[in-house]
Amino acid sequence: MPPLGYMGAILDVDLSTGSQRIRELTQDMADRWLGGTGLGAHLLWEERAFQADPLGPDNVMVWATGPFAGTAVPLSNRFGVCARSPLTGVWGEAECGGHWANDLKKAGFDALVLRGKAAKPVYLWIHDGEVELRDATHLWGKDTFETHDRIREEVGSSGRRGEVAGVACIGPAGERLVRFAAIMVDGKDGRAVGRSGLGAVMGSKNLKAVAVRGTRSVPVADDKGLNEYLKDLRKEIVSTGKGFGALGTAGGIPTHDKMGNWPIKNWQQDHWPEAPDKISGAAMRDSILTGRYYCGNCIIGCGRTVQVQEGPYAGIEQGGLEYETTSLNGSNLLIDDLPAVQRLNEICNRLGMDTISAGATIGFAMEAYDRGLLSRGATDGLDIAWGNHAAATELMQRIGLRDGAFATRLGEGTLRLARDIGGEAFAIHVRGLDFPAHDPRAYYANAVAYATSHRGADHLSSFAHVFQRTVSLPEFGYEEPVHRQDAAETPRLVMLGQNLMSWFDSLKCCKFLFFGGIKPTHIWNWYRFVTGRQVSLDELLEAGERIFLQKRLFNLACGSGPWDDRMPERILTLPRDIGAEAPSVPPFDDMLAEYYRLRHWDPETGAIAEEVLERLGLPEPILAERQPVAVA
Amino acid sequence: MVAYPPYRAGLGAGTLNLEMPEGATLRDVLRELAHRSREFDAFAGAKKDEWLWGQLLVHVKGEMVRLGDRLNDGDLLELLPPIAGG
Repeated sequence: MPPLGYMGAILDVDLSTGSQRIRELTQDMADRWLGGTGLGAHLLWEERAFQADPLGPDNVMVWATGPFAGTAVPLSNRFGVCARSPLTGVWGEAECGGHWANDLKKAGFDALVLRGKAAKPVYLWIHDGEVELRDATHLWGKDTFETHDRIREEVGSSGRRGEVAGVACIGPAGERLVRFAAIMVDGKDGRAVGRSGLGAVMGSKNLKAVAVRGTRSVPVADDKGLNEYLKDLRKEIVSTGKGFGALGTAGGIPTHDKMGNWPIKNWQQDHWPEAPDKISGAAMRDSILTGRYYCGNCIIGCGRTVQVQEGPYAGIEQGGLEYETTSLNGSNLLIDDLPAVQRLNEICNRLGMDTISAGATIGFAMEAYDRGLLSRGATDGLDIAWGNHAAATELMQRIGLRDGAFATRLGEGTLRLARDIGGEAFAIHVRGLDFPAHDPRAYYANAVAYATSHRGADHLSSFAHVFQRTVSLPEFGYEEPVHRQDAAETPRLVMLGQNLMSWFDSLKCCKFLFFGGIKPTHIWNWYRFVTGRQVSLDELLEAGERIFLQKRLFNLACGSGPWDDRMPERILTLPRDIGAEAPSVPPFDDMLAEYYRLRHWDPETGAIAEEVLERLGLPEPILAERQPVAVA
Repeated sequence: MVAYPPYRAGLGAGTLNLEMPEGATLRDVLRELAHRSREFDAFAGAKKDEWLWGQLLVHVKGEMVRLGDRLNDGDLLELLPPIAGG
């Protein structure tokens, strides 16, 4: 009998040979690693994937759902993917909503392990326990919108609810190994496994897509109790999340501008007060919005559906802009033309690229051009001046297609480009992963969080900026959100946030539940209803700590340690007006030192104290020699 | 008071001067605004700060104001949309 909340099966496919085997997901694995990239961290360590060539057949990918997928828990139709990243050379992971995870689970599998390389393009079709590798030669070169629709036709979806296949696929960017290629879900609705270049890992394996459909039931310990408990909570989530759902994640842009949080001109400019009227969620609502998009079993609906009706960027109805994309491809490039920013979004979605790294890389190139490090000849004739959206859209298209020498260089990512042309001082990254759209000068938590996040600059692995903003954590002694410049409290808050998010993400539900008034205690109760395990909240938090540190062990084995736990020079030397009394830079070194002390990490070697490893039952570390990131 | 999108639709884009009795709190201000724009009805009835922060943020000098906070003469209130997600 599988562990409650799970199907008890991991599908392992070797693409080189086409062989498949089903591995048992044991109760012990479920208890210790929960699901998602927590389970992935355990499996990839066993595979010694830290030694793999990220784009070689020896790299291994894990795709995993969690115990909540396929149950009544709201906002839980999610999965995570992890592998050694071709962008950074260290731990790579990304998460996704949409309509895919529930079907994998209902098809009988909690997770997929994908290894090897197919001799020719293939896609994987998984349905109710059946697994097929199908030829995808005819789909190679197609964009993700078309690939999604064609595969759905081929696998014979009827179109009725419950009988529609979920399709996760790559576009030309993944096929051509753009190092920040994404895996896309839900076709033109554009949900992304965005960060870390995992689309390129798929491309390197000649794997075009994974399609899933399932009708099985997920075993739940106390389904009736869960539904009863959720009855009032659903209303609470809808009520509290109302403002968020109304305008989407880009709705907050006026506030981000006031607080000095969003990127402007590659993180050089304090504010851009004219822009929010043109490219915020409210501007979208008043111009191109056609509807709201909901991931599977979502009741908030932060997704946007838009259509640009006229002008050079007119197009089909499709997934609209969210905050990160709007910022990195709008304000970051000094572009305030909403249809143009939407077109940049569309290109990324169609060709399959992470909108954050894609926008950041173009932003870096624009600054290099502005500073004379790149001539017009070097850009293949493009005038990539700040704000030139015609050039930016053309460049984005070329990057995704690896069309031309300049675009090919950009497809290697910001850090490799900076090493190539100069300008590392304004390559805004950690571990080779570009900053998302939250400035550590505005929220000190993100200084420590980005520096110590396994995949590189990442606001989601701790979510601590949110706990410095509007969300309290009373279970852990924070009756009020922590002040965003409270340097003394930041290290503990980040550590807590990382441990908390590590279990939360591994259970696989959407972080935006926190904007619906949900607290860790609610999630803990859902976990007990679903799995029947009567564990304490502290025990779950300990599982989160285990997962977090297992990923840290992966990076140490890659040769990435304290020397990479850094902030870009600009963030520490260019004070930013954040709407507070004085311009701000985070007191990074002091906060990091305290964080290390709390974690029991050696600040020189990165070694984790033995008693911590022992308490959590973690494996013997492998401390590899120091290796530069973004080389492997 | 200055409103930002989406609240300009109801309150206008310019600076708005409010006369409030001494000791007025943010909750009092929201009640006053509810007389001017119906979208503030729900905000005026907010029971918890965290619920309000999911719909509306009010800043003075870059700091968030809570429902029960007393306001001072001359405070410039900024009405901003909630920030969430990303």
